[in-house]
Amino acid sequence: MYVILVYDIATDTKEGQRRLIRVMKKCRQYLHHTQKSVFEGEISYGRLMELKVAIGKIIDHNKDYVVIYKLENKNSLVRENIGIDFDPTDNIL
Amino acid sequence: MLNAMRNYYIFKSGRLSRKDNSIMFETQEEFKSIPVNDIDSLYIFGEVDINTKALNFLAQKGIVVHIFNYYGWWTGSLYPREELLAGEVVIRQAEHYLDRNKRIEIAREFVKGAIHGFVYNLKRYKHKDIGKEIFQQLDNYLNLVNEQEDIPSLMGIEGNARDLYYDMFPNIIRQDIEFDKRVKRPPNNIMNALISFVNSLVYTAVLKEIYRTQLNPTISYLHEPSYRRFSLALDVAEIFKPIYGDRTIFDLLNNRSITEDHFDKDLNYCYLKETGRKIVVKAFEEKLNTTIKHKKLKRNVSYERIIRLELYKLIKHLLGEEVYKSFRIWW
Repeated sequence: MYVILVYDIATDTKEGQRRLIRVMKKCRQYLHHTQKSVFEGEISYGRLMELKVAIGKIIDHNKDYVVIYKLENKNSLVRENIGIDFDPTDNIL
Repeated sequence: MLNAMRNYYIFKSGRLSRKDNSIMFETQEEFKSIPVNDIDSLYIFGEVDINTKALNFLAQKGIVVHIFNYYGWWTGSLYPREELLAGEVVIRQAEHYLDRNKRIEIAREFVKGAIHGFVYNLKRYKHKDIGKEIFQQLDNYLNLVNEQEDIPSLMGIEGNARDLYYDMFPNIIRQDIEFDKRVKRPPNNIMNALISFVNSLVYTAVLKEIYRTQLNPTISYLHEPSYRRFSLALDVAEIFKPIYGDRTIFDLLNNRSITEDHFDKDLNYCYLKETGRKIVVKAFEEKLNTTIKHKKLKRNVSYERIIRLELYKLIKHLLGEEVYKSFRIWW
């Protein structure tokens, strides 16, 4: 399944800044870093479950939130770029 | 969704490291994090620095790393410590090697699979210049396989069939390319360079799948296990070279995606330039991700997964559960 993950972490405190980095690092293990707080990529159900549990443990459930947009089929995704044309999920580097 | 993990191919020069429990690829221009959980296997073509920390991490995650030299030759793979250990399978593997009759039985299947691939390729890309006699002859070879009682003569049959098949290449390929005979180490013309490169991709794809099973990659049947390579991968690759590798080549050349400009040529050798290599790798990757409806499983499986299923069939044979019959393409 194809997933776009977006997070918003309250960084007004030192604690929050730490959470932000931890969420980012965790996401990097599973998805491609597209923009500052945006990740995307192909992932299996099992792996996504792992990631969700891990993020749930890091964030402050009263202040932060993470949104996951799921696409069952990557073919239904049309990706359009304005500006530099690149695919962050490219596997040929 | 079948296999979420992907192969990653690195052509740029840079540094590969472990960072944040994931993989970071750093070039002069950019940092790029590669999600470690998305890596099925890693192909390194560029000039890449890597340290033991990263190697340990990759091995720990069970990622096979294939390394290619400047000319695009496969030079080796980081084959992590086996985790799917099964003494029973290794013992049976050795037993089937030591017993002459058992060994030849398996070896024959590999050759049959290969010849079957030749026939289907010629049928698929049928051209009026491919006469009936060729199919007749290949059929003869297929029948002769059963009569061979030792490995060298079996290899001989395979070689003859292969020569016949390669002779037909100029009829399949619509580009005007020189190709007289198969020459390796080093390849002397475009066609040979392409075949060598694509075959190494097939070989590494098989090797990676072997790592995912309980099989020991050094005990083989058609090739002698004393070969320096993981010879079981060579055996199994025989089946897939014509149908995955050669078909990729035909498509690339007939669509003119690859032309002479993609090669560097010298007096007596020829190899793909980086741009060409990227095109071939991309096409091969697409090929592996193509899915077909599996006859027995009644569901869609990718070409890549078919390799693994082939190895499972081999294991079943070794354990005496089901007689091994090599994969025969039917399209």
